[in-house]
Amino acid sequence: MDPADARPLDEPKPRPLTAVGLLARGIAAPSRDRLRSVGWTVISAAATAGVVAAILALLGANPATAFRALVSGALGNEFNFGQTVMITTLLALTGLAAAIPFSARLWNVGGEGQMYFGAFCAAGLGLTLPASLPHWFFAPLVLVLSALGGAVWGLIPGALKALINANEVIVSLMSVFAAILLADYAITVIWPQGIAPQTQDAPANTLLPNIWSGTLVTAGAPVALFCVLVAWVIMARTRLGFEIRAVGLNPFASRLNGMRVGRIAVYAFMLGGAFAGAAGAIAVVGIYGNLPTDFSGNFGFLGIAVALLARLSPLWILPSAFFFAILRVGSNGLQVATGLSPSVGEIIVATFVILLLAFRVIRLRYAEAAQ
Amino acid sequence: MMYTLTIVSFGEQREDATPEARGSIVMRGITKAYGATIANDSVDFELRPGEIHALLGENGAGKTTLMNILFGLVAQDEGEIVIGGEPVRFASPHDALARGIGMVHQQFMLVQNFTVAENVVLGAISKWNMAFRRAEVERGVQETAERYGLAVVAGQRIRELPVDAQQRVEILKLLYRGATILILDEPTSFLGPAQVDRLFGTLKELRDTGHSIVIVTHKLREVMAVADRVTVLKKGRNVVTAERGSFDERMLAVAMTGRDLLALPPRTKAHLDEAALFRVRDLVVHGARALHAVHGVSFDIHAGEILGIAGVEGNGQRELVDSIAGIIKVESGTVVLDGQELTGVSPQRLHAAGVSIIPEDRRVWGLVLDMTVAENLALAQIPGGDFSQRGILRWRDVRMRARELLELYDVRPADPDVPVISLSGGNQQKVVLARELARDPKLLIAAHPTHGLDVGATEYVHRRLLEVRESGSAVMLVSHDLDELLKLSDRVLVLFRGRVRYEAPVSELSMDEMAMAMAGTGGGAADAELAHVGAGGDPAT
Amino acid sequence: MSATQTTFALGISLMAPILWAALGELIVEQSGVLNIGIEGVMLIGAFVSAIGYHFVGSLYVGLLAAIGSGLACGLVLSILYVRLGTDQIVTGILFNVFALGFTTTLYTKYLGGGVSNAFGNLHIPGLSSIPWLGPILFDQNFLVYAAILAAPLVYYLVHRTWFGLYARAAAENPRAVESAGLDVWRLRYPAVVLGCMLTAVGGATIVLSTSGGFVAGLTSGRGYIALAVVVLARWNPYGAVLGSVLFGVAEALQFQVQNLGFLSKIPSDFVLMFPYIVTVVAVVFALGSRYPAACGIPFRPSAKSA
Repeated sequence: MDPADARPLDEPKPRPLTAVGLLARGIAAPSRDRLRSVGWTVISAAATAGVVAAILALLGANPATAFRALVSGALGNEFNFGQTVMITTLLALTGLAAAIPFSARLWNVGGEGQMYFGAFCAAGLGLTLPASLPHWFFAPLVLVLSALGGAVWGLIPGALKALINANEVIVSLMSVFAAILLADYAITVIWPQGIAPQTQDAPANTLLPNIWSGTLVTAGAPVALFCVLVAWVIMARTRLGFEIRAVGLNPFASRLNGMRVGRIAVYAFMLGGAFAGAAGAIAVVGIYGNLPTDFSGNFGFLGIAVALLARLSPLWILPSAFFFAILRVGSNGLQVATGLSPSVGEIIVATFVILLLAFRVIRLRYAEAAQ
Repeated sequence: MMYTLTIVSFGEQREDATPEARGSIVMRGITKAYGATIANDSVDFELRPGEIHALLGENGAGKTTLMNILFGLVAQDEGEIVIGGEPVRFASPHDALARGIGMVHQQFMLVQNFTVAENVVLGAISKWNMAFRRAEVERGVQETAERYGLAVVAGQRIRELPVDAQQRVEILKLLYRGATILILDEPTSFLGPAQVDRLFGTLKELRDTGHSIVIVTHKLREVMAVADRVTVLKKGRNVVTAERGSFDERMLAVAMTGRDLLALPPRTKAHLDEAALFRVRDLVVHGARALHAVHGVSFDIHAGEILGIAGVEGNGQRELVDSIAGIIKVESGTVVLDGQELTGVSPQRLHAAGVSIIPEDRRVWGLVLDMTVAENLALAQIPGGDFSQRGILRWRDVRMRARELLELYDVRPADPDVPVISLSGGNQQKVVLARELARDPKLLIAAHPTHGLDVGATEYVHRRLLEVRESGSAVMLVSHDLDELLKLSDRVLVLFRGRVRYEAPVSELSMDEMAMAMAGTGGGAADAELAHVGAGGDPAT
Repeated sequence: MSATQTTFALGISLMAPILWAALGELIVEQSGVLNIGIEGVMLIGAFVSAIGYHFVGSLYVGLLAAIGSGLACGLVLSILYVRLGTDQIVTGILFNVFALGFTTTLYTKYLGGGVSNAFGNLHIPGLSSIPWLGPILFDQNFLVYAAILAAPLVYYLVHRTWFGLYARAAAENPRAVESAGLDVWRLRYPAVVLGCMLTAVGGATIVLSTSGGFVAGLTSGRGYIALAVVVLARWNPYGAVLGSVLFGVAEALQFQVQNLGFLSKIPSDFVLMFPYIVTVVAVVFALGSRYPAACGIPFRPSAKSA
């Protein structure tokens, strides 16, 4: 007897299904298992925190001091909190860039490159389009076109995957390095700003307005919120979203039931790329005011962590992004307190997510379906 | 109704000797549960040296679980295994193999890219540091094969072999390692009648040279043909154990199902006088492997007719279905349904043209297991543009439709919101049927629609297929199960190596000719081809 | 030497890191594990070799330290990939993020700006005086020769030993391997560990072949390129040698741009992009090259899944 055939019929609790319920199902386990799973999550989180503390101690920092510095660096005052909000903005968008293709079982690990290309587009458009365009039109135009640029960059792995089944992991990774070099070319050759490693400043009427005085929070934050809502509607309420999920969970049945798997792959990659491109544009016109070298603290790669912790669900992307933003921004505070480089943020984030994967707190549904 | 023949149940042996003294393998009180489902409920089983023992039961009776426990693949919750008086516990197949117990699974455990020899020696030699000498290994494997009269060529790659040759490799794998106890799980599922005879011949020879063999099966005819003893399981429990001479088909059927043999359902005549509804002409498909290609197949199906497609696994059936379904490329030929040409069109256009498909493997091709029942029922309609208004899906309508279908097709639980993976195999198949039949197809292609289903669900599927036929649609039924084909079909066609080798109305059918067609014998050309491939014939001897 | 000759000689020496990594990845993938974390293992190997040299002052200590770091990475990754069965692509990418953060943090703390030393070139007598080809092929450091000699050894391991046979079976059909009484995990653990050790040597080769020492993010995608080389080579170690040469030469162009007339007009950023573009083209041309059937899919033994 096949054990999979022997599943008891009464296990999952029926629950009224609305669009919200449909999404919630992806997030919450059936209630009987919830207690057990909460307990397990707590144990795992504690163990994870322990391991991270041990790594910090090994690096020569007092974990308690480091923790305090981290929290105050991220949330300690209005300005720092504003920083965290803006990094949340970027991470939420790169999180979507991973989550949507991942839902279709496509490994878009090139969010970093799509973001760089979006930033390249934003800087370039701002500096080449006529500066006389009105602000209300110019700034959104830059955002939308840069998002399209990101989508084009995402199209490369997506189309190669759809057309010739090229390995999208390798192609999207290569597109990262190419985009970074392209940004470098913009910085050093096309629009250099003297000796500073950044492009000339974007014209004032491309910049997103500050919306919280005393901080650096700009209109980029609500734009990201809007993007998250759009992604949620796409995934939960549209035919495309349904097809993306179906293809991700079972490409064979999807194909036999009339879905065009290749076309869906292209759309999923382009959607992902568009969100990453928007992140790049917000970095340029909503944070820095120009395109600086190394503007990304691996935000594109951290987006993968964001998407995983959110279990690929668009609405959970926000809290997940906020959480990782705290870790990332907080690690800047570590430098002062412990003398460690801000790169320690990457160690913390990566260790954190790897351990949650190891503890099976984070799981990819289709990965299990394959077994 | 109750048969009180000389049934010898376990524990009251006629001989004086205890099972231990005979050197038997004894399984006692084996219990195994998967969640709330009990696969084995205190099962007893004895395998004596030098016997062919059939383990008989319906799908889901717990036969495979019991044998997986004996082979160390699954750990029992309760109960003990005793070999020659000594209790044993197998943590893995490694331990079982060390005791001379080997198992051939229904789904073969072969590495497709490897040669016969490489597969045979897999795991047989544990000196990892040694160099692997291909020529030497191949010679050894070939010698062993010849010693046991198994026709295989050691240097051939598995993926080039037909299914019966792959099965011989599986048996050879065990013999090469010196296994004396062979467990074969549903060994005839994919074989034609001639190949079954040949397999049984091999098994009897092995028994006569001292091997003990367990055949797991649900086919009474096979028990009658080959078994020295039989143990019947029903719903995870022992029913009887009986010796040859003290069982017959009828008694076993009652023991296995709790009912008497079933009668054929009545049916109307097909509309044979009218023009054929579905026509396939000279269809050519290149399979993933040369063996599996389709070489110019033509047939007609009339309205209200079921055409059964018989053949040994891997003779082009899957490629035939997949190419009509728009999954793989058609090289040449035409496919016409009701005057509309559908050669090589996309699945979406097939749906629009009135083609429904019950695919071969519902878990892979039929359902998205992690999606809900409602989503699976709408799986084909949503890409077709239904249920959406300006791109926004109306989930309310999806669920309402699902509720209707669940009731109509008696799916349990009738809840549109549970993931389809939580349903039993039979109910999963009902979801596929509901989706595919609800759109009133002109043509229904059903590939192995009852594979792995229990008797109740199988009957349900049969009834539905006959309903589709009665409603005047054409039905193309592909199955390995000859009984099923003969029961449902109006006409049967045999595929061998991608060609039609035999075709006849069921009423005029000759079983002998059909068996010969499935084995590819009975024509000079085919024999030459066999010798060339070297797998179906006796190449080395 | 002509500019072309110099480019090729440089290309051969730049091939070595990629070849080591590709050979390591090949062993890993031929057991059924996809190690995207190859980039991180390389980076850690490079960093540790620089640390080893920095504190002890011997190139050989640097190399041994790198091998040790490969062993450590291999143990960690094999537990994640094999024992815990985490998703290999995601785990690998996150491991790379970890490695980047880890090496950068420690680099700023201990090594900042420290230079290294390099293994000298070994002129092979006779062969190195072959016209044109001699200086290209036979005037390299020992890590380059060793990488090329490692290819037949890897071939032997994968295709001519029982371990290799079983590991390849585990990459194609682990259920069959289990059913044959073998432990799939015990085949994959050593493959991952050994593969990571070779990969780490690849990272060390970058540091120990030039005197530039370590910088943050030194590997800059060479690990990922090695992934593509394995696909392009269709899991054949000799193919990996040829593939690595292709990328070595593509990389060498950036140092030779000014000497190669036809390239001198191209902006340096685009020349630097060259290896990445070649990788994408290679993946496109590797059309039909299929990963082993079970590669990248975690295996859970039947007896433990119930």
